[in-house]
Amino acid sequence: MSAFSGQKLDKIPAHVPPELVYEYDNARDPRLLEDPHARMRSLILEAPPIFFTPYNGGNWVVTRKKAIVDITMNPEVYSNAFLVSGHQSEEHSGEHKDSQPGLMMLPISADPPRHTAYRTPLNQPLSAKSVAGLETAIRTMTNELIDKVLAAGRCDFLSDIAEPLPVTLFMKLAGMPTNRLAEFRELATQATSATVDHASREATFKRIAGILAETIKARQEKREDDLISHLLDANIDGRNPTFQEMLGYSIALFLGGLETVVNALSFGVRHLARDQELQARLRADPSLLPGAIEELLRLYGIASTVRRVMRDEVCHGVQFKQGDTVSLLLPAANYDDEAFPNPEQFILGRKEQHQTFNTGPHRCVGLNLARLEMKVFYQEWLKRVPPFRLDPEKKPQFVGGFNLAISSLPLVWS
Amino acid sequence: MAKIKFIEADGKEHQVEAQEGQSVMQAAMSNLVPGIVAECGGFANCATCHGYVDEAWQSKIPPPDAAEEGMIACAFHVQPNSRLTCQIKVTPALDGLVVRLPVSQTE
Repeated sequence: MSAFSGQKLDKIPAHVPPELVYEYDNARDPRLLEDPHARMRSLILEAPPIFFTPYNGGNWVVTRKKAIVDITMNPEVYSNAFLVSGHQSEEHSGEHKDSQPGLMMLPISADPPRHTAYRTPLNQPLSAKSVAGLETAIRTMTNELIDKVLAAGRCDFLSDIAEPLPVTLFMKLAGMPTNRLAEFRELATQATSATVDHASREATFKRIAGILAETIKARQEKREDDLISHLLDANIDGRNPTFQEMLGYSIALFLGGLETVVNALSFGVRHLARDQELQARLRADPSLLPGAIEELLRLYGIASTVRRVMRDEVCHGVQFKQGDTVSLLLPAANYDDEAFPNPEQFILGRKEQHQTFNTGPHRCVGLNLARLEMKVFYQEWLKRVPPFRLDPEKKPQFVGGFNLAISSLPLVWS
Repeated sequence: MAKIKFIEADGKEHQVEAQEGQSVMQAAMSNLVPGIVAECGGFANCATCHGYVDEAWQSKIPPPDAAEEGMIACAFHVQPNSRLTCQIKVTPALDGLVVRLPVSQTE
């Protein structure tokens, strides 16, 4: 069953107590589409800490930081090995998980210890030390994009800045042709869209795989200075990755690189557009930026993640059954009062680690690159663009699903 | 139970009681020792629990595996005695262990 079919279960499973049922459709909930992060906060205030929603095939939803950390740190009970092509697939669970030839996303779809073998080749090229070498290129790209919109006094932040910047950078890093930016971005949006039907999603993934396969084949013949070339020579338990594994890596990098930073940047800029005082403070003292970026990342988490329960287990007082699906709502955990006092407020200098990048073995491998892109972007944008605000004529549009997203963000300045 | 001494880059010392079976990183985190970030929570994925194992103790600790070695290469301010503290298990034999901390985990 597709994760976002929208279908509601006729019958709540017997092991789910009625007081833990809360109806929430992560793709279509009207309050989510009105303001995604306000909805995350409302789930903390209104729903049980772990609740069962009958929507989208029926699954548990966890919203509190402590429970999410406990689950992500226990991959033996809460498995990732059923995640295929960006949705859950029944036939890929259980004993077939290691042998099925579909589009496994790597290293996301592997559990430890296999996960470690798959993850290790990505750690070095995406480390803070390695990505620092990209800073000049990011600065140049950012300024080129600002040049195009500055005089106009307005832009749609999504299509003019947020999409081209991380997408171009990522494609360069991975070794993909940057002249196909619009096509790639459209495919990434379709692939992660919560409301496309199963067949369209499959077709989208086939097209993405086709494009990535071309790049992999080209690099098999001739290595370049890029991530795909690096991965081709990686050592996975004493051998190089197979073609299928290379596709798995590329799919995960494609979706991770093209969907997340776009949205994190956009939500962050939307916050600044609505808070002139904060804009002024950051313009006056750019040394505040790293802390401000962490707080914006906390307020505006993007991705959620899913686990399959491998054996009957009681988690924070809730009985899970083997085979249950558990959604970890990372953006909601950032609004958990237990971890973040006054969670709706922007407060510089919080010590508690936010959940936007997750915890545990599957913690985001691209976080160093994301942080660097955001730092350079905000430095240049605040230096060059005068005080900006939301276009009063056009409201931003939001999208739900595994990724919380904005599809349009019109800004004006004078 | 083992006593572990963490020494920050500026010389400030923190003596903690570590439980057997914990990692050295966990012992630091549960005692709020500054200078260890431990972003990934102990899976040798992030290199932000980097520490220098005192020379006298190096031979008493099993050497790093390939995953840990790969991540140490990603850490900042690496020295020959660099380790990821999340990969060192506390045993009674480590009573008295001294771990120095780098000037920063992230730059």
